[in-house]
Amino acid sequence: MHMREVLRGGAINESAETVSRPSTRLMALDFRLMRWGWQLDNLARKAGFNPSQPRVPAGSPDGGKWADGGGGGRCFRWQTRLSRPQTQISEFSAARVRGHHFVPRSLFQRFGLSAEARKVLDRGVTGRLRAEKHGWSVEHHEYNKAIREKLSRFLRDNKIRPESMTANEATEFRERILRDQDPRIRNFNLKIYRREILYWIRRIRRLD
Amino acid sequence: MTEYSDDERQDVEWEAIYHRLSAYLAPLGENDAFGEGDYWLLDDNWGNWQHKLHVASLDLLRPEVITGIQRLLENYPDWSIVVAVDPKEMHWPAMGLIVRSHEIIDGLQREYFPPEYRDIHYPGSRVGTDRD
Repeated sequence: MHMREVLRGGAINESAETVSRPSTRLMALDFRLMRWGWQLDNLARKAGFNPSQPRVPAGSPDGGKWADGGGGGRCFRWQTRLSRPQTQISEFSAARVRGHHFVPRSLFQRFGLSAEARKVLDRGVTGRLRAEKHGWSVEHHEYNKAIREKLSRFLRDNKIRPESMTANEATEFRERILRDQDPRIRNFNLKIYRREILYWIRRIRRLD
Repeated sequence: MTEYSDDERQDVEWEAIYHRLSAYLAPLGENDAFGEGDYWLLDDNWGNWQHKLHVASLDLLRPEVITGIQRLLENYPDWSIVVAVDPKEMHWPAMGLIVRSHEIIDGLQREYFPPEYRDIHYPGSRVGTDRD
């Protein structure tokens, strides 16, 4: 099925119906939509589509259409590539992760987690978030506090010493966080996903 | 000369600015991700050309601190640092500053501040609009 049809069709309707009763099912659906969004992003890039290209302002006859660029601010060079050797590109890309960390990085150091646990948790991110700039200070603080409590309990209940936490244990904790129904955790993550989904729905309409 | 794609340049510059900002802020207070310190410098790169600094201590809004932050962006014209005012236990409306290399956009609502902070002024700043 074409991605646009997927996003127009049942999946979105299902999301709208269940949005008032957040659940792990909805969370899983949101993950799928996010993944489709990222795939669409990659396809769009390959096709030379630049989602950040300036547009003609609303109100004019060409409102919403792509401008030729030069709309102020950055000038995107969408097709540019690194001139470095390919091996360096891979190393470069692998070294960086983007997006919201499900387990805040600040906890890695605070708990003195092992290097392998840090590595696993550092990879637990949403991926690049295009919907909007970061906001929600209070919610994010509460989210961080909730994860701190959960991690503390997880280590205590499983008698894990932070400095010896294995990759498997870190993976299990990360997965628990993704399924967690604590509203401080679930609502914050859902908020991010919903914004991202709405962003992609708007983008797809513009592609039409 | 190395040429980066925009995404990779964003990564490289995000990290460079993050480290500069961390070093600059460290002597000025405690960085805490749980809202229990003087500030929190968001340590996730969400992919935008922006850093976010949550400020709990109003001392960090002093003009000399903010212009110091602005100086860190001298070679980064594409970037902005959002300074969100987020004092502990205070339910103030969302407000803050957007600091760019060439301007400071002032969105502070000083009427909420204690008297000693109400006269803060940032040279060359402008009031934010809905286009910011």
